[in-house]
Amino acid sequence: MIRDASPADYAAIRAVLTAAFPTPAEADLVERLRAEGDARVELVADEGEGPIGCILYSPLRIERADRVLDCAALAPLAVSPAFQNKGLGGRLIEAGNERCRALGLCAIVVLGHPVYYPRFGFSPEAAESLDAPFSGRSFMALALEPGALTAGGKVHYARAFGV
Amino acid sequence: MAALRAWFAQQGFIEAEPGALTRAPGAETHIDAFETRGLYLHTSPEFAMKKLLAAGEEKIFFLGKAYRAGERGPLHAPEFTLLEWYRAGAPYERIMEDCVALVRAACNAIGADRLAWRDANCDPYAEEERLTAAEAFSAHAGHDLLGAAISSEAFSRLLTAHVEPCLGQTRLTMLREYPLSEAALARRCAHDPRVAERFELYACGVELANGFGELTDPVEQRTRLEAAMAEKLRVYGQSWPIDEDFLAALAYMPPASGCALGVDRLVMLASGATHIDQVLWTPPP
Repeated sequence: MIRDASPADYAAIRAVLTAAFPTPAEADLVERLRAEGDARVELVADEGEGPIGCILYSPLRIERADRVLDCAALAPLAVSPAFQNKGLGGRLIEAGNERCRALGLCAIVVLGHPVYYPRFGFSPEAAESLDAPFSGRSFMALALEPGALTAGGKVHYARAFGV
Repeated sequence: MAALRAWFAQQGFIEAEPGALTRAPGAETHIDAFETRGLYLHTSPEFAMKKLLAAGEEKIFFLGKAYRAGERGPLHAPEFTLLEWYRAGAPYERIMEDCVALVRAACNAIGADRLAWRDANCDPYAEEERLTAAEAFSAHAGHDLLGAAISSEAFSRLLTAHVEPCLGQTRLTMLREYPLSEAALARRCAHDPRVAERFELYACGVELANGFGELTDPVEQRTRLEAAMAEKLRVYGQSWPIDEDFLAALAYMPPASGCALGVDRLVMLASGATHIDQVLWTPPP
């Protein structure tokens, strides 16, 4: 099942992230985002024995001439190696995106695998108009509010990203 | 291990055995060391090896244990086997060639014709791919590394999450020319002062080795060590002493290139192991 992360899960989330990535950089990022109050949506996949997957969304602002859009950056997403290729990542993304929609956010931005994320509605085309530290086919976005990404704007990540 | 030692013997190298206990355990911002009674276990024998170069040795290697605290995972153990070697008077391209030759020598000794890790596998005998860090970040993270400065944490995060998984697929990848801020012990590239002579060897998305055209300017070395230690203090709340003997020796050190290779990882990839503990005789608790 997919549920909200709680402080009791933090050690297990660190274990998932360090097992899924070759260095602790992603685990450190998550802890820094939390410490700075920027873990806006944090979910875990748990089949009864504690977290085996996790996803985090942090606040992302898109500044346009007419308004500032309240959006989210999806990063990181991880599933323990022993439980990969079973659709858990997809369930985390679907639940997380739904939560962002319920929060009234305008869009979600991700830097990720160019074949995987389009399955969940993300596309590099949607991110094309944005003025961001990234570009190319790995930099993708999903508009939750229709038309949110058609007028460009400057992207500001949470401080912990360091970009 | 015998195959690696034989390779070095054939090339005319001398094996060095620096002590593991030291006052200054390393130069890296993001590596943590074991401390006991004011001394540290070395995170690599780099400072000691460079003192040997300053003393006149020309081809030296170390094959033994190094220690890094807080590192535990499928690819990390706090005690691990490191292979580190230096050539005085050689360009860093020569060390890149050594790296590839050593990987092949090890595969040959084990009888492995592929390296494998999780879903990836690569052919160590195919000609290696050579990419600059800027090319790799642009292709895999969509980020212009030399155009827009990013923090050291962001560099490390993007590398981990987006660049590394794409390296060493089907064949070995040599990632080189790192931004100066990510290469505390490397000399600047002659053709572009924004980048330094550092390379890493990747197989199946896994970092196997890290090499440098070594910095031999003691003044610039002090500046960079102090910057790395200041960053360490800022991020982790601790820093290491500067090894003054090392800085003094550097003035006498000839131009040299060197590299450190994770032997456990190489054995893992060549043997199909899925966790470093499977290739450690006595895995740490």
